[in-house]
Amino acid sequence: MSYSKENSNQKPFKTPEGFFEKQRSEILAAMSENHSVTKQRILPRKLSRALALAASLTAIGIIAAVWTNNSTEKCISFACLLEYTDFNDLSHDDYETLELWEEELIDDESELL
Amino acid sequence: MHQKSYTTFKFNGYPTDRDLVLALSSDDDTTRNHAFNVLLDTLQQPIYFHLRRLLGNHEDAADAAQTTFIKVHTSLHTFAFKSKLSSWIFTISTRQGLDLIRRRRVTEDDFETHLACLQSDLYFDGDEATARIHAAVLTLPDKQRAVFILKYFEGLDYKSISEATSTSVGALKASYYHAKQKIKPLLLSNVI
Repeated sequence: MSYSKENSNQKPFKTPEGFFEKQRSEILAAMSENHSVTKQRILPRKLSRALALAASLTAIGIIAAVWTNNSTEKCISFACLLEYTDFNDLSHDDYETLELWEEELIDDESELL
Repeated sequence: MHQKSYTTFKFNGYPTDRDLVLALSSDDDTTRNHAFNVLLDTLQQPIYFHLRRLLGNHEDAADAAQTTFIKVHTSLHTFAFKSKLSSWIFTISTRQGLDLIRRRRVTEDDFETHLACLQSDLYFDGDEATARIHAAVLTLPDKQRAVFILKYFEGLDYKSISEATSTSVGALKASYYHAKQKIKPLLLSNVI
């Protein structure tokens, strides 16, 4: 696409006298102002992006850790604990703890009856 | 992008898009102003008149054209040389124009209202037939209007219009056809 003043096909539109010259100076002034502001902001912007990224990753890590731990902590029943615990991961001590917990539950229920 | 010193840069003839973009991004004020003047020499008027057809009046076209060139400067780092620089600037101006139409539109004006506005416009210098076609264009829905102007008045090919409006070529052809169908009766109504 190539344009020149001659083939810009401006008819039938007209503009106020000196409009393009005035607009050109306004654009160049705005451009100079923008350029200096942009230069000043480049470093802080990069720094803030890096900080935002680090904060996001930390937040994701914390949420993931809390969510993983909560899956068993939320349990208030033995059935729930069984459902959320992978038996292959249980050590001998864990089995003992579970048995103790089950015995305690049975005792509690007997006392209630 | 390769680094090049542009402190004493002067274009020899019309620059390539790559040279122009490098000069426009230069830290040197003189080089940058010179490059922007070259850009404005070529595109200021075509962009203004494109927006004038799209928006219908001088004030809106002037605002949108100015914002377009400021956006060109602030978004220059996003220009990926996938199209010509001029096509990319036309794309920005078209989107700027469409955005202005959406923000300012309160009610849809009919053909007669647009015609009366154009005929009383101090900066419109067309005869009855010309006023009718421009008024008819202004009654089109915004995207259809942009397609019709880019195709009929600017003479762009469908590929360039596709880039400017983010629409497929097939949809553009249908849009242009429907625009012509809508405009035709408005032009003929004067003859009958």
